[in-house]
Amino acid sequence: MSFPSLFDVLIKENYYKDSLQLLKISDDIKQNDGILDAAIVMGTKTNKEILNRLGFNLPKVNQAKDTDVIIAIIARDKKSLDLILSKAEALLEGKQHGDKESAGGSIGTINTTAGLADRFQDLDSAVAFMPDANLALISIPGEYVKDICFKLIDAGIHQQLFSDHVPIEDELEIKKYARENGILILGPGAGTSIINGKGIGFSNAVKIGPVGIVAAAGTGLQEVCILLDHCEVGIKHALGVGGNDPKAEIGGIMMLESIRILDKCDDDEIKVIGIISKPPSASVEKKIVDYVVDSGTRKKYVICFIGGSGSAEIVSPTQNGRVIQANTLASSALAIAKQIGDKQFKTALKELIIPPKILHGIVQKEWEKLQKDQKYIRALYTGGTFAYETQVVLTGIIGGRGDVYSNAPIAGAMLLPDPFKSLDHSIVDLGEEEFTKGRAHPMIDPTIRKIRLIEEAADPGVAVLLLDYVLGFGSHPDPIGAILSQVSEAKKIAEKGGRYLAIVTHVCGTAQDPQGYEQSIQRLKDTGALIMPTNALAAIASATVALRGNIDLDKVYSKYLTGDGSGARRGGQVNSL
Amino acid sequence: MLDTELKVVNLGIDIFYNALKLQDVKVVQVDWKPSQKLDKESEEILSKIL
Repeated sequence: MSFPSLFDVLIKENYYKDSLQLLKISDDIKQNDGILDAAIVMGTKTNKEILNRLGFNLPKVNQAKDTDVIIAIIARDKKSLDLILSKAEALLEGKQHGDKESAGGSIGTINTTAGLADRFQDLDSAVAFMPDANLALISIPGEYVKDICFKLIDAGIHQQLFSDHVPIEDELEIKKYARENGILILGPGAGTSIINGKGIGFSNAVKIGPVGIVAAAGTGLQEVCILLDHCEVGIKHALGVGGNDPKAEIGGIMMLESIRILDKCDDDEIKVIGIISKPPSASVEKKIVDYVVDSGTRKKYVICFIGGSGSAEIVSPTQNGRVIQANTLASSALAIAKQIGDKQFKTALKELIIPPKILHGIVQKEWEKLQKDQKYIRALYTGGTFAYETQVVLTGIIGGRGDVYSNAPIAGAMLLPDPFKSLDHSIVDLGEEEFTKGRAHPMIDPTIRKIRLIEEAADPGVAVLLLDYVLGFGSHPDPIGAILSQVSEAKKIAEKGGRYLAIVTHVCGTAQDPQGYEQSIQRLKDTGALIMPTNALAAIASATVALRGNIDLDKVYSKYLTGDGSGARRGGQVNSL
Repeated sequence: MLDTELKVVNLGIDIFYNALKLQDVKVVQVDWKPSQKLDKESEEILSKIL
């Protein structure tokens, strides 16, 4: 920085605030004159690591506990610093956001948050106010979830659990009890659902139409829904069941319940059901396939176990195309469109595929600007399923020509020894626990990706930065703008080192999303980034740049971008949970 | 739930409450906080009394 800056830190001991409240206060503080940066966070290991990277390598920071709030400020001068530290403290205590703390009340009364008729301090009061509630959306620390779930099951209320870190034995107990009582439990770790066109949690505004989805992969659900929306195919219901559900420990309880529920819907409402998941355990896969293929389901299905299934070819040819197997999110969308009709499939091929020769021409312009030693792809994902799908595609394409690392590796990729430091080709899921403990999800809080972008750009071996941008309800109000200056800075850092940096992106969004899809695309175009219509194609484009076009694109497309199940039959990896 | 109008209790992150409001979904918000944990000394005193 060309001007003086002062760092200071204040610790509020044993002072719980949720990560989003803290993010909002941090953003408020950053708007003040004389403030260069601010981070107000819980004192978790992840947050301390990030503060160190922001320059707050101070004993006070490193000694803070998980239950402490850290107020960390960088200011231009002492006056601004002192003023803002006390303002931050006041904001934390709610003195400048309206007093939300009090309202009191005794047992049996409805305890509203002061002055707000539909905000409550406890669950009982909220349910008493809305006795016909039929869904609870729960996003509290996982250790507190179980008792609340049981209470809600007894009250006959279905639940979507955004909360992570729910012990798996609790999850099993909750789901068994829910099934006995005819209650649907979506989650834990379920960020996304769509019910009758209404988005729950992180979700995109999609058209309503004849498709039902059951997914154990949050951004996977979002991607398939938005891709179908781009092909004029709408969604009736999309149910996210959480990543643990297809594991052997849970036994696919809620995947199967969800499939049963959607299969019973009128054909006027749902014609095709898509099942999207990372490869389940062998026992769960058998249950799902047996149920879909053999138990008298009536509808058309697309089953996508991303990257392939343990049994390589799961669907009997006797199904005559009623069930199609897919192996990427993009191929799932193509297959669902095909199941709906020829017109929709033609539209999907046009909207979701860039023909290989055209793609080759586009990316050639990128690799021609690279230096000889720029070989590597660094993918910084906010969407976990995108990180997974990209690993499937890259390990398949790169094969023996390089090592693929990740903090959440699939079979065939290697574990990053330090998730904060990339090696060779690295696919980083910034939504994994090591980055989110005590922090808001990176789809909401861009801080961690901002820091990482700059670090990757300084590495002379990097050829491509691969980024996802997730629009929709619940996400950051401006995910493109949130990291725009860091993307520009990353390019400048490379330029100063005599290098060109290719930026490849995919925007997971629709024209109806509140952030504005077309504007988002245009702003990215203005930065010189390549924008791909699907995440799978973004991964393929990145690999083509990094390998200087030394790829048989026709073969790659036939494996990862088909809608007739042939890609899945060409074999994928076996990555059972 | 799938056949009737969605009525949601949002427990936790209020971004999700706002997102549901934006879509005209009926929703109420619970401003959840963890129950206060007793410090060790208070716990010991209480365990002797109770």
